Amino acid sequence: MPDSSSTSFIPKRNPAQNEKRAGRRKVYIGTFIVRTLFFAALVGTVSVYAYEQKLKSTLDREVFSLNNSISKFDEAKMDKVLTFDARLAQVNFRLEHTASIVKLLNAIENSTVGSVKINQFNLERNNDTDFAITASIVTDSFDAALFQRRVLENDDFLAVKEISDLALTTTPPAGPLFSEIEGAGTEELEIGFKATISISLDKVPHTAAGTIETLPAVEIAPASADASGNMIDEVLSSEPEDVNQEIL
Amino acid sequence: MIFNSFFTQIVMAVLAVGILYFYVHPTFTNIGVIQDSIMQYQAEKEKVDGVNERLVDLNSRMESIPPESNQALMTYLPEEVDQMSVSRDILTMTEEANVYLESIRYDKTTPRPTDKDNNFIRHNFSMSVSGTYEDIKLFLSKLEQNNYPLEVSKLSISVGEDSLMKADMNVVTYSYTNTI
Repeated sequence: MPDSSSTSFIPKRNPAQNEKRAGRRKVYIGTFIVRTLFFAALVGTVSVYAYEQKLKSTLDREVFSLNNSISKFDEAKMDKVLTFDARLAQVNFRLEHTASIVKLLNAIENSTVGSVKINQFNLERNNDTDFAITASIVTDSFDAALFQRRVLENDDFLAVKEISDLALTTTPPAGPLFSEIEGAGTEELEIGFKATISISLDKVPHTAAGTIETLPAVEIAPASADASGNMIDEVLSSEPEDVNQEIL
Repeated sequence: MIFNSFFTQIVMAVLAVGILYFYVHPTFTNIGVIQDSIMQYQAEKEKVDGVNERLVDLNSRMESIPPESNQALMTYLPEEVDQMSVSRDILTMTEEANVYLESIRYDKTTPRPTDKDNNFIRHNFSMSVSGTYEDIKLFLSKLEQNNYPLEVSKLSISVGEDSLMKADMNVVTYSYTNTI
């Protein structure tokens, strides 16, 4: 008779197989990674969302704060201050480029030798840089002319650009522009030349102290000759001196 | 279990990658932009606050200037030049310096090349005076001492009649023009 257990339709248990199945729990690395990745993505999403919201809130506060600061800005006050500042800057600019013509004339006087006459004096201010001066100078001898040229060329204050239009003329003495030269007989020897001079504005700045200094010199001798002896009208009206004798 | 199925794991992996790629990554980029914006707004706010403080400071300094100094400034560089007043002032100076004012004329002036950077307009007065050399110098010194600029831009001195000297000159004064 066959064994009833082998004929039963109920599957038989293999005791060894049961023991093996109960003790084995498989951990799949792929499943672990996928689950970790999935939960990390969820956590990351929430964190990033929360952080973004926080930053947006901070940005809103900063924008509000900036707008608040901007609203405190007073444009009218700013215009007023800028206008005032610009005006001050312009005044400062003008003051920095102010020059004294009186000082300049004094400098010319100081470099004009006694026997020299200035017939015509022209001055032009070139923007805010320098003065261009042209002086028509007349003297009675070549020695005086040479000496005058040397004085002008050696003057640190004046920059002589050109000495030109040298002319020798013999004319009869007439008119206030000319002076008699002693010993010249009835004719007058005239040596004329034109000096083109440049003076930087920096060298003749106008200062209150400078003006005060020049005023006494102006008031002392309205018409008469004084010790300086080289002012233009004095030179024009006085008898010419022998420069060479004075200098040599 | 359903979570253990292969299909579920594929879906989870795809979802995770999708979330990272389509949400986390752009959000990170956006966070960077927002952080930059915050820093920029903070920097701008500091600047605006600085300007406001400076403005308050300058305004208080401006208001602390004595009225007479302010008036002197306005006189030195007015917004308009009254040619008649200037001519009268020059005439007064000639009288004080004992020179004879032969003529005075207001000329419209052309701007100099350096004027384009400046906020002033030049006003030119041409005049002729005669007198002794010393008196002319005195007159020039009075021009220099005036409470608004009277700059000699051209001067020509020559001998006139009766040993008096004649000085033709251009005198320039300035007015302020607000171009701000």
